[in-house]
Amino acid sequence: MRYSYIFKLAFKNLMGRKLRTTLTIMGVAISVGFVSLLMAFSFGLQKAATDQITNGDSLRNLDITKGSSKIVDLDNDAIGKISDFSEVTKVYPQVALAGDVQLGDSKSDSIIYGTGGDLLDIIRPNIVGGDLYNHNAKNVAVINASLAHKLTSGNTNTLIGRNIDVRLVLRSDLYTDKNSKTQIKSVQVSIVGVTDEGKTAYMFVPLSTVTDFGVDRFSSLKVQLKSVDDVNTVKSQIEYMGLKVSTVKDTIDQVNQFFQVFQIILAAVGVISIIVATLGIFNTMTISLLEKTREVGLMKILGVKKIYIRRIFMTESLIIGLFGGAVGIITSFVIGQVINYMVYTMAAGSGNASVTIMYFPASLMIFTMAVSVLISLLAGIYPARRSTKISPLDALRYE
Amino acid sequence: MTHSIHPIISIQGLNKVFKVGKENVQVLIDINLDILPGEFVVILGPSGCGKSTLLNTIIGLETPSSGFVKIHGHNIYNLNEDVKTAFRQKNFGVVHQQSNWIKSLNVIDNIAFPLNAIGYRHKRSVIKAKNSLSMFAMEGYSKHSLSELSGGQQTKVAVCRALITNPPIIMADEPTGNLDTASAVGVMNQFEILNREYRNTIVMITHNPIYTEYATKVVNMMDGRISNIEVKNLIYGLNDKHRRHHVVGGKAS
Repeated sequence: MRYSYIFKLAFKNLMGRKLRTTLTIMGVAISVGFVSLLMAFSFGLQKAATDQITNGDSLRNLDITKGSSKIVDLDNDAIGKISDFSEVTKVYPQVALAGDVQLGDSKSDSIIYGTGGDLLDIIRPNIVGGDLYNHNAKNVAVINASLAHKLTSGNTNTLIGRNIDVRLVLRSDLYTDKNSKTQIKSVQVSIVGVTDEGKTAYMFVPLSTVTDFGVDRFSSLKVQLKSVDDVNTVKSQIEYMGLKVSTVKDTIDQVNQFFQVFQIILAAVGVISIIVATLGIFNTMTISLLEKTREVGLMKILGVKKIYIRRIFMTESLIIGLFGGAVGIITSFVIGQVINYMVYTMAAGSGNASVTIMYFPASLMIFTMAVSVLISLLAGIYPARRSTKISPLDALRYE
Repeated sequence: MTHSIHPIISIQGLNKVFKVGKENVQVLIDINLDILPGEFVVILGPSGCGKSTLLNTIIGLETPSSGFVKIHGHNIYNLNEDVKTAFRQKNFGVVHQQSNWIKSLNVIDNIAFPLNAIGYRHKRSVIKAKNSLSMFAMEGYSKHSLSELSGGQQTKVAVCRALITNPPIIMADEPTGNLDTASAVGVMNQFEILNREYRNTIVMITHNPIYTEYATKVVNMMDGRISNIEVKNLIYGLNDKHRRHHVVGGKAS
């Protein structure tokens, strides 16, 4: 018996009981749609979270600190070694030190980051006034809003272009030379930009501001790789040197791990509704089998082999699963888009950035479709097997 | 009969016992019967004499308690169900008193079904089914549902379905049981044509002695036994393919 004919038979059988078929398909659709909505919600949240952490490019960066290592230092030697890795595009050193800032009568403690203009381009702090400084700049600073508020009571933008006196506390461990002593140096810089990030007062100054005082050990290195794929290899190589490496990928992995657990919990809830749908199909198929005892017997008398009878029943079940899955996915997708639109209009109304709260990746659709096909096949196995055991004589007995 | 022809159906020492509760009921007792190719056998007997069980045993739906039935020399009871199904489909066209249908299919698709069952393309099987329906001038009913047809029309459709695979043997269990006289004559005439012109072997079960007129051999059954076998007419075309044969007696009317 040809597949096309088996399909035709199965389809006609289902169409012969429109109400029951429709109800069963709806049961599957509701259950599959529910699961798909739950998962889309979870994917949406996850995507919103990871999108905030990274803007794509930062994935291929590594942050290196000394950690607890007493052997290796973040000096030019280490930079040289890391730069020699073929996967590495560039290494950006950074120095963090304590200090204070004076503008007229106002004075504030601050963390001072010796940060090259090129590194600043990668960190890309959110600027609310002025601009970042470039690679060659000297005697400039980008301060954060927290520091700015300590220096002026007025609009922070008025600070742009003002000169401030910065005192740097140059600790002895910033020098390779073991005989060096902690010293305090003063420098005058001009404010070029204000960023709104951070709660404690800090500022960026060009790296040369501190290296000009002879600093040759760094607090941290940012390493840029050619490709995201190299992150794990390079990470382990650098860790082998005794340094501590953290990556944006690690953070995202942690977030993803959290959401994976979240998704598993949602999936467990979904499984219950899927089981109900499976029982629905099973019920429909079993009743259909009981009704068709004579018909199955007749088919055997007319020369249909057992395997084809089984296929007819499996196909009926499969059709229910396919339709139920498709209707469920489409409906959940439409509902998801409506929710997204509502969130978007609400966010726009209150002036907040909107997020896509319902996210339907292709993998989700494929997964839910696969699930509905799977449960329909599962629910069909028993009735299909039973059907082959029906005796042709059952067709001949009078009712 | 002195022909050196091998029987197409050979029944030897056949017994069939049914268990009803704790009691054993012997439905068929020591049946011995040879049916030759081209015969029109009428098995005659009152209801409950085991006729239908005999028919079901011949086509392999029932298994004998002892003895055997050979079709073309093959004993089919040891075969697995699928092989049996294929064998039955190849050798027998079966018409039952109570017609059974695949309800979701219309007339033409029901007739075509045995061909679809063995893998014909649907288009091809429908063409054959239409041809066979024209045998009873019923082409106009092809798209009808079976429930819209009268008992006589349903039997005609059942005959069409039994013939669609060109089986050498036609087994009919009270085919005229539910029919009015005119419909019965139509069906019987068709059987006669099949027997005479297409050389189909026909085994027909009935309780109505009037149909013995069509038979080449009448098997009288009583209480599970064959009481006597009566050879009536010559098998048509056995000696001379082109010899027209005169039917003894009139037709059922």
